[in-house]
Amino acid sequence: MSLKVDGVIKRYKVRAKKSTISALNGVSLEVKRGETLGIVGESGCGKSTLARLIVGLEPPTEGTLTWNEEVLGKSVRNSLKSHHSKIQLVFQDPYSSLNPRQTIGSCVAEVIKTHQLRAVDQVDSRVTELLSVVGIPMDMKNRFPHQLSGGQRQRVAIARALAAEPDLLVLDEPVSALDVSVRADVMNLLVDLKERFSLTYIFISHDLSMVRHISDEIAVMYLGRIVELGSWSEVLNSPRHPYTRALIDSIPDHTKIQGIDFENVLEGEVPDPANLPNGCAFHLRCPIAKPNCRIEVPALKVAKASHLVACPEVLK
Amino acid sequence: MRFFNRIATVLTTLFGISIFVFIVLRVIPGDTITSSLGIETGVLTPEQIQSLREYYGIDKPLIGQYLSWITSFLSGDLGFSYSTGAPVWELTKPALLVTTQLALFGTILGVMMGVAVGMFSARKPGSARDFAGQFFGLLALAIPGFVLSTTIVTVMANRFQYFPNGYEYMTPVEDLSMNLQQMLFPSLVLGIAVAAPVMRTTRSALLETVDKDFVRTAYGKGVKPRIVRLRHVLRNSLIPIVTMTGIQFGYLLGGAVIVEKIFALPGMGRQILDAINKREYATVQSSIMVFAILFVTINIVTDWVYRKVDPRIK
Amino acid sequence: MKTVREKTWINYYFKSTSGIVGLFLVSVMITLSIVSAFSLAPIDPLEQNPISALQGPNSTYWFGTDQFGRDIFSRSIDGMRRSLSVAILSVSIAALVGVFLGVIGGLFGGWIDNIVVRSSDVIFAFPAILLALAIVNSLGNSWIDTSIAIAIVYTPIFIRVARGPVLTVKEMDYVKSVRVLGFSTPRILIRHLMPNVFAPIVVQIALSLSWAILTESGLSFLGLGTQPPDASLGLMVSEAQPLAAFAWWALAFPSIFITVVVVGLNLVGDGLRDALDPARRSSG
Repeated sequence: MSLKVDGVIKRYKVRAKKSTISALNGVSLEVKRGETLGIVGESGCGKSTLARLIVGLEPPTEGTLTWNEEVLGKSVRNSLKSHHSKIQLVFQDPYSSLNPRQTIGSCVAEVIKTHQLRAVDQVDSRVTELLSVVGIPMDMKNRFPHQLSGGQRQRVAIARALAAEPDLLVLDEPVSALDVSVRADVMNLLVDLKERFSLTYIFISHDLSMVRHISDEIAVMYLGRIVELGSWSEVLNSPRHPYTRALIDSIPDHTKIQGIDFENVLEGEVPDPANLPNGCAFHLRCPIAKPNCRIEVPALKVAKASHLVACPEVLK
Repeated sequence: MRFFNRIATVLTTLFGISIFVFIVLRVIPGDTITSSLGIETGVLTPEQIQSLREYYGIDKPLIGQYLSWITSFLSGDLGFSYSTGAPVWELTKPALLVTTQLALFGTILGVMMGVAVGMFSARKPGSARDFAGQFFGLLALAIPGFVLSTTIVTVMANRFQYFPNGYEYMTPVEDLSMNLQQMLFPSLVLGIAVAAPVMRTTRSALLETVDKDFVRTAYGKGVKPRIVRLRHVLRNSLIPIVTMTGIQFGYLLGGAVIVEKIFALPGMGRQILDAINKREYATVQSSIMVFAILFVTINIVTDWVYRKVDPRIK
Repeated sequence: MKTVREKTWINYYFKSTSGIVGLFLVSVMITLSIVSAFSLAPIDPLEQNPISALQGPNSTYWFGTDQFGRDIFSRSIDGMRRSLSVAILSVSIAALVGVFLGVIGGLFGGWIDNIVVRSSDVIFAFPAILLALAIVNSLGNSWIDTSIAIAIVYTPIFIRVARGPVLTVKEMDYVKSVRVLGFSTPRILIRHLMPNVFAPIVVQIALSLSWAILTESGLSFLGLGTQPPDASLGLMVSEAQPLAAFAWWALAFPSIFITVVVVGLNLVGDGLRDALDPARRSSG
């Protein structure tokens, strides 16, 4: 089973301002069974948009998404159908991702019943099974979401996603809305589930330290493009793209890379995706930018085996 | 650019309205309209009859009838009234003035009463006075206008022998004092109807504002409570109150039918009512169309005022 | 797979005094109407008795008699029956059509939504009484015609009340989640969207019923709708006009009936609004 994203572009029209926002500007990647791909980037870089496209909530404007050799639907109606619900999603906000009027037990059971994944008399035990796998005790089955803590709600969301027996699980900032103390628990749960059930993840976050724990490969996104792609150790220990370096240098306890100081690069606001700079999207903040960077959009090229970077300066 | 969009929307709505009015009146079975032209032409001159035939689009298919009507209407020909022989537009103008005056007075009275009671209620929410205020608001809503009017007429005319509306109607220019007296009771009745929703809006707007930080600061600074209430709380609650006022004014223009009839005011409502009873379809059709146009206009104006007044909308 | 919600809101409802009072008032009126519907009234509302004309309230004629010697009590409950029938029929139609259109418009968006909104704007542009007047004039005076007229007038408000929540909820994460989970549109509609639409609609039904009664009695006051000698509350008030000075009961009792039922319905609406308000759910 594999997911291929090929040159995907996603644009939104903003009617009020008569402008177009380019959320994704040519993203390509591939995920194979059993892998975990971490996608990192600041807000506005398009990672959530990418998640929605992968999951089928929206079709791409250009480019293709291929799932198991099948190209996913181009219209809004067809994109979801093509997946047969085998790609599932866990949202960031645990407060709005569960129906406030449904008990968590019935919420999970509904998935099983809709897809007829179990015989009617086995649904209940399956629900108990799923809930216990994520660490929710059985006696909470009849509680409503507002009676649970944020961390518990996320666990329910994970259980619900697992109930559909997906091949690929996309997690969009699953712990960012949780208290810091709870994050580790949920992250450990995710790692645990991954190992137990050989799950395939796409893990999206703005927080490198979270991504680090769980990913095999890391893709770094900036303003709708992937600027660096490689195994987690490569990307974290020898980052090449200026943006990646800036991100890593800004992690408080990370050891600094020798050479140019990237630490203060990421001050100020991220540029507006509706008003993309010409050439390399990062050149306005890049400490090693050259005149050419203003003109040419750099492509992802191989720097080392399976380590790709989109920066001509670094590749030299 | 957005301005044009709104104009287009408004025009579409008006177009829809004209079609709707046309349909509503043409549902009348058979050719009652057209056939009656042969019999009940009353005092119309031959030219007027011909003009009316064009207005109705007689002998044309349905769409032709609609187009005939719309073109007549837009060129100022609103048809003729059988009984008086006058063009509908001539009848409409003074009637419109009467109704507008009535609606204006009613709205003003209603807003005054509604805001006053709303303020009274909001001062101590949940208290007995709040309960009383809300109860009166509920009654104001529930007692039908025709009941109130009939009661007033009965009491005033019989007990106190004071009934200005029994005399011929006077416009403000003809006899201001009489006019105001004739407007008094009907405006009161309408005002009570308006007061109810205005009171509710005022109360909730005030309660919401009072909770805000800048109000507490003002109290904390030692500003006299009365001034805080008037200057800070009331002023900032004005927006929803103003909006509600605009809406109510629009409704009054049309909802005054019953009051006009009871108090014998020659307004648009009464005109339509009489026309319906006398089967003067041209009058009915045109008057309703005029009403709808007015209502839409008022909505636009209210909307525009709202945008200007609310600094938050840009 | 019931959501427990349905049981608890009724409990909440009975915690509100206005709700209880309102329900009581409305029940009284409904009971009286049923009494009339089955002709169980002590005296025939149409029966004229010139000898007993214009009597004040007494033991035989609880509400007194009118100028034809008809029993005002029987006529009042008969009139209430008519008003309620019209109100219930018209609001049912308006709610069914309005909610359907509002949900369709909100759900599908695009040109469908545009047509729905524009159409409701067109009807909104007319003052209620006037429009009802014009339609009844065209259709006829039967109670069904009156109901249709009132239904048309009050459909747009249901469109608006249903469409709003659909638009908001459609974008919520939990709706997106169930779409990704592959739930069919009808299922999403019924189990995840409609419960949010339910609350404002129920409240609106109570309010619209009260408006419908006011409109219906206004129409019959003007001579449209129920025709004499049948009894209708508005018609009774109109007939009582010349008598009011010396036979106050002919005016008072029908008026009180109208007021009571409208107050009752409004209070029920308030009670429902409080009971269904999500802000109170946090108390668990």
